Amino acid sequence: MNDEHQLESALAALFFRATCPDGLQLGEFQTELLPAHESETILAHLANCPYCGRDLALTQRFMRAAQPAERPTKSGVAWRVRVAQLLDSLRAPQPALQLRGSAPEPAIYLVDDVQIALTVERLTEGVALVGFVAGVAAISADFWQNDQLVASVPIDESGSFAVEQIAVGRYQLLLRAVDSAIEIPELVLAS
Amino acid sequence: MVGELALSTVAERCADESERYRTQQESDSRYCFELFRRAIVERIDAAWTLLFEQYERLVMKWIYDHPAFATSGESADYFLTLAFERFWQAVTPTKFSEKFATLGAVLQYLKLCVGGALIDHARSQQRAGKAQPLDQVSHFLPSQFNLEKAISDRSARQSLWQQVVSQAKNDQERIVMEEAFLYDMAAADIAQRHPDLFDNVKQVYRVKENLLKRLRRSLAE
Repeated sequence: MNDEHQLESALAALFFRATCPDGLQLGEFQTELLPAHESETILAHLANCPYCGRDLALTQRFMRAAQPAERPTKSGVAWRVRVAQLLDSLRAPQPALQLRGSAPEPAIYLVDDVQIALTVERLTEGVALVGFVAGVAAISADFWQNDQLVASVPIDESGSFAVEQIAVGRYQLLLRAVDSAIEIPELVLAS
Repeated sequence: MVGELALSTVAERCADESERYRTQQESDSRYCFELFRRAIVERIDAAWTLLFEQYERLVMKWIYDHPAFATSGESADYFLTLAFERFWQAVTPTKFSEKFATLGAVLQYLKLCVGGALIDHARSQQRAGKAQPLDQVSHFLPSQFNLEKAISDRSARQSLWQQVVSQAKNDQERIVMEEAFLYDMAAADIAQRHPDLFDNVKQVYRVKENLLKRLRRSLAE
């Protein structure tokens, strides 16, 4: 390994998530306990950081089961994660997202007025995934597997995004917008 | 008046009322809230001990319920101590008076401290997975820089980061620095995320290479 590569690894090891707010700050942000100026800073950070968006989704899931339901006095800026559900999930267990004959049908996920359509295409290794999200101005699609960020791709102004190659398997998908995120907790990609 | 009761009475009534709450009977939360108030606002050590005893079981349950606990590699006792420490540090007497009007609000915040402790631990595990032996890292850094302190001290790491990122000459370099070093992203991902800045992945490699050469020279100075 030459010096430049060593330095790159060293910097990545040293600075990994160095500018991320800590877990409690994120929790205070999510429960709107932070002063407005601190919330604005975190909001700006969330637009770029795929890790904190996921931490917030985790925090929200953890706090959702909260007992009792009373909350501290709020004063900050809201940022919430909504969980999208597969359109068919009320009728049948969630199927794997996969090719069906020659024309793959998209899997549709819904939450409130947000719709997400996902389609996979088989490749020699793994699959390609094409997505479309409507109803929210999402900016990034982050794919997580076993606590690792596997892919983070931009979502364009029309709501389209694509992952050119991704291995089959189970993922958590987080679609991040500036002030919120949509989560698909379990996305199964099969070829 | 609850405020005039002996501490031991407050703690006993808190335990009784908590049990009533747990068994879904009508309960009075004033005694437990008073226990928190005496521990935090009046800084009475004995109240803090009683509070810990009263809520230890509930906090343990939250720890076991947290999605990150199973893979943490640590005991629930470890996070129990950490969560109460954070709560103690974060809730000042002023904050308690301004933000917490009910027992429910205080407990919500205590739960937030549990979540924060587990998330920060998961992060440090991620960072440890990327870490190299210190001797491979240290010779790139200024001689006066305390690397061990930077690894354990968040603000020292942030201050060194500001020093490094200030050397970016344009948006391309700043984005490469942030996404490669802060977020550990591959060059292909960086190119895909910023089509306005990079025509292709080779361009990301070029920018990174120039940047690393310059950083190596400047950090060694």
